[in-house]
Amino acid sequence: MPKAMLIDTSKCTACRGCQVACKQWNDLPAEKTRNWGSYQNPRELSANTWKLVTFREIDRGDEVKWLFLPMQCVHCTQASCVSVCPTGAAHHQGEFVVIDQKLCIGCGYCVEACPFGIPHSIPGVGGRRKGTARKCTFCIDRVSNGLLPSCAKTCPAGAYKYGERDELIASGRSGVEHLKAKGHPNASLYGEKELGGLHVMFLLTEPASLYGLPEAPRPATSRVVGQWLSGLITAGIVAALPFWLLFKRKKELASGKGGE
Amino acid sequence: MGELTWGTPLFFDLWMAGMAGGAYFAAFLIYLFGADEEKHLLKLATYVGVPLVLLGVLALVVDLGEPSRARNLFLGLCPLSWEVVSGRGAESLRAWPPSLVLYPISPMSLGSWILVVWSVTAVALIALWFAELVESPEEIGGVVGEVAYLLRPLVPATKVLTWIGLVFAVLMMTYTGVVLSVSSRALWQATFLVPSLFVTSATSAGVALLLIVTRLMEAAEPAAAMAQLRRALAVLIVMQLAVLLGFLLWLAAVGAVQPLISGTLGLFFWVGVVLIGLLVPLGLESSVWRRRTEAIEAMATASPVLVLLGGLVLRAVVVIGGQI
Repeated sequence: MPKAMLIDTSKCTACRGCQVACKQWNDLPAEKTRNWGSYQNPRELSANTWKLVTFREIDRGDEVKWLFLPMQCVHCTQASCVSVCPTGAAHHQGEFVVIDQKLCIGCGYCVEACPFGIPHSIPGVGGRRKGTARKCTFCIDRVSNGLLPSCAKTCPAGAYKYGERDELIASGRSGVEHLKAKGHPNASLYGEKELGGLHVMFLLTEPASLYGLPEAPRPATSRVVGQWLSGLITAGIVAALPFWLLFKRKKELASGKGGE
Repeated sequence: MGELTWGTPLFFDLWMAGMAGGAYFAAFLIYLFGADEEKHLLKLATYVGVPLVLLGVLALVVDLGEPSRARNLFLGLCPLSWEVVSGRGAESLRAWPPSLVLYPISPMSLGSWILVVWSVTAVALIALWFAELVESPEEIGGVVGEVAYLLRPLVPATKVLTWIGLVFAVLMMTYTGVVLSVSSRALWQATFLVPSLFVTSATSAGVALLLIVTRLMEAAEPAAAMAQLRRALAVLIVMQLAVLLGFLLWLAAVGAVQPLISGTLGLFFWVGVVLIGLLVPLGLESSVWRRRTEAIEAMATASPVLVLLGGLVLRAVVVIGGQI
């Protein structure tokens, strides 16, 4: 049975203990940060920050609501990074998506393809992209040894649940009902069906878009055949037409068939 | 604007590969539909195309930081099998022997092979065209003469090779658009027209390149053939304008057009792509048709250069605009 994680955002206090635990377990260096007007720090996920609690303020007229989302790779079943990776570096290990650092060439395709903007390339000297792509591994080294992912292990608010995906979906559904009963009519479970099913699911109190999550994410390769056909048909018909029109006649003239 | 994952080396490569593919595509069709004498345009497109593709690829490889990493695009540590192609096979890693890597669903994997196959085909064609001229090993002398003479029995294969070259030239032009459109960036993937736009642009850039190279080499090209080529360029510009309009309208309908048409990038788009790259060359070419004055003729010689520049700016604004 596939394992997964369910993060109940209504319980998250944005303490960022999960962020720190992720850094510690994966031995990721600190970021140079600066105040940009938010408690969200650092501002974005990066090759050295695989877990980030995002802070979003929702203005409701008479009140301001603060939404916290412990964001990380959601380990999609239909993972765009896996599909577009030209070397096979991004791949599924069981239900989890990992990037093999020996195979990664740092082309950045996974960075451009991920609908959640998760993988990042290690910056090179002078800010130039020179490194391989990195992201959350679901603490595969811990999980495969019977331990909880470091973020789940450290959460003091009990926002994380790790276990069988089916059980977590059932738990998430009852959580939605519970939240609705407690005055969150927009509560939903994100990740049950998205991209073939995510292995990090979120229990949300507001619509997904307010958390910065795509409402209907699509695999980057979902229209790959159509995109190839678009170019090939254009070449075969549109781009070839002027040559047929302008040079066909010339050949006829040359062979004397289309004479004066 | 955040840090760009894909910058100058990528749009430079897309421009070079597209232009090389477009030149070959145009020259092949002219040879196919036109008179037999026009075979030399196909040769010209092949001679110019190989260094262009190699330069573009070199830019990308250098940008990887560790050029040796490029090996992983072609040679893997795991066997090529359906299991690998469909489900990725990093679990079955083995050190030796290396095997070929191809993931057909990944436009970058497929594109890398397309560049290689076209380049190898083009080099083989150049070698055979050369061998065709060598009557005896002594004529050239040395190893080159011997090799050229040995290749002579393979000369009949040039016809098949030119067709293979055509197929991969078309794939090469298309890949430059598909590699962007298979992504999660709104500007690139919201429509089906990025490959279409890049193919029309690559073809017009290819024709422009042929016109420039022919002029530079002062080749004894029949004036009538050159005039036809310039007409083809004008028609292609009109087609590119039509595809570009469709692209903008489609983007506007899905609310993704702003990064391309506003701000500094918008300025580059309207001035660099639309005005300098398309409208001015079109105006010049159509003026030549209507009034053949010397002054207009002289100005019109600049139009292929403008088309090439417009093609480069188009790729730059689309690549950068998608990442804003």
